[in-house]
Amino acid sequence: MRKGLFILLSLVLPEGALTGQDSLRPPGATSGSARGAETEGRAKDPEEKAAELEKVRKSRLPALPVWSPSDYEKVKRGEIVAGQNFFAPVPVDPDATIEPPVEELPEPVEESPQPEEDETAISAEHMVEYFREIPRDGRGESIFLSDPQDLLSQQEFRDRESFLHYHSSESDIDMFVYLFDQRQEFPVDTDIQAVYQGLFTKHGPVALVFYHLGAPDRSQFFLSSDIRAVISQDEQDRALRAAVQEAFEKSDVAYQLDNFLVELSIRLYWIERELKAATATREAHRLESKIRVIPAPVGNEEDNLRLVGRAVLLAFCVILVGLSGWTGWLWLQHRRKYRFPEVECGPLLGAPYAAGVGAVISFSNAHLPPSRQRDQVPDYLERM
Amino acid sequence: MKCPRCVQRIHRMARQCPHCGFSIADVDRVFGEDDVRLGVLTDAAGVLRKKERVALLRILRNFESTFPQLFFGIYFGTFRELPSLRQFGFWLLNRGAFEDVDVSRPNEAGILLSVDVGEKSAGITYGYSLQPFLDDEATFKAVSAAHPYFLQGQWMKASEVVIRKISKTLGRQARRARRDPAAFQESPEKAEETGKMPERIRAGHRRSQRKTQA
Repeated sequence: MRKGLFILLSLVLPEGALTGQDSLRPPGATSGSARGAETEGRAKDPEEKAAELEKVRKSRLPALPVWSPSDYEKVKRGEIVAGQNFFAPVPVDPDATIEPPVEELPEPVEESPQPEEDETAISAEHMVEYFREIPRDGRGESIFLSDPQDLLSQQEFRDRESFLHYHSSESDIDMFVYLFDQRQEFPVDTDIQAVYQGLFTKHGPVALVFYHLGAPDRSQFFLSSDIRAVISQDEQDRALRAAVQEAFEKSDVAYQLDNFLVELSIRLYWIERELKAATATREAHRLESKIRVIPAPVGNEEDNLRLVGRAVLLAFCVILVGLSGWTGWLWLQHRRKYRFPEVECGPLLGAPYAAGVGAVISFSNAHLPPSRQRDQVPDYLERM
Repeated sequence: MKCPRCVQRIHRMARQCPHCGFSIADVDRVFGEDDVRLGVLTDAAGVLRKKERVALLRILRNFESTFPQLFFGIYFGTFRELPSLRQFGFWLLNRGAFEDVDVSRPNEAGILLSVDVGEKSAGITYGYSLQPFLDDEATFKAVSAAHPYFLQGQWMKASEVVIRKISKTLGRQARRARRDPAAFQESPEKAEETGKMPERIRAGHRRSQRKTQA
């Protein structure tokens, strides 16, 4: 206990405070080993002091405590015992006041009013980028996803664009998607039909989509004229509604676009099939109209009726013969007589006619099979 | 061939069972040695309705028609005091005089289905003429097929099933016998040898005893 207290004090008190008067440094000795200085009993040179000060400064250690000259004298006289008041409460002056540091407040900066951005407007530059021409990459291939406002990240853009490329390679109907922000409105003179008329009339079967990120229900869908000639508007609306419904299954705007595109791609597949069927039918009608109708010879219907009558009669005869044969076979089986050869078998056990004892079974238990209820027990073991 | 009492195998021509000494005299003492008059369908237990009796008789006549040498008899009774159905069937087929059976069909060519309605058991007995054509297994299959109906008390249906099964077996055996009659014929020499077998066994025992004494 005493050792522990000593260690604690040695850490807290000035060096030498616990070792005696000789270890105390006189005022002015600000650094270095006080004991060494005292034991050497010589005053340090100003150069040495300066070197020590420099050393302490470089080591970045806090400066050692220094006795005031009056206290030092008192210590020498024994009026003050070093460490005596270490655990005593700190005297607090009740009248003392602490002056708060005076800080200079910065001057309020006058904010210049920023012009409010209109979230619903699409800038003219962007409009030009959107609808100047069919977007193409460096190799001259069409880019099916237009996002000049960088609403999607690069990675998200690449993913959706690659899907549209895949759709284009699998389907006859290309799908061009233009991305807009959630609340953006088109200028009055811009609508999807006008865009189609301006850019895609010579492209072939195409599906145009104006998609608002975060608001799939604001999307617009437009099919090229050759498709619209076959596919009803109801069906087109149904396709769009299904895609929007699928998009709302997700909360993230990028995933919403994913769902929207996948569903619309599926719908376009069915539209494409319907388109092909309609084309085939039209072709068949065209060929049919070219075929010359050969008039049927007179009296052919009567021959046909006669043939059908004969066939029915033949079938009836076959069935009748079959039934007769089956009945005859049954009758023969019924009338069949079985005869046995005469067998010489002498009397047995003194019985004149019969000694053939067959099986005896019991049927008292419904849960046991007959084989378990077969009576094989000698009768002399039973009551007779 | 099995003894009706001890169910042990016995050799042909045995006058009594070598195991238990059973002979017909034993059952005659119990049931009587006089002939008993009865029909091919005897419902002593009174379990058949009139319609069922008529239908069953028709089935029995059909059997006789299919097998001109044979007849089939059915006996429904209650043997509370005499539980040995096997011995009763053996006795009845030997002492029974079936009035409605033509004389050209002796009891030797008869098959009897005995049903103990009270004790709930059924068994089959057959005459000497059918010894090569029926066996214990065939009769067991026949009554086993009728077992569900016996359990439900459908006596007519059960009897019909037994007759049908026995008819099938007999028809098959008749065809086989027509193709190969010798396979079903008993050799008289063999039968005689079989009959003398006990004497030969005893003689052998005597010879071995003499050798031991010498």
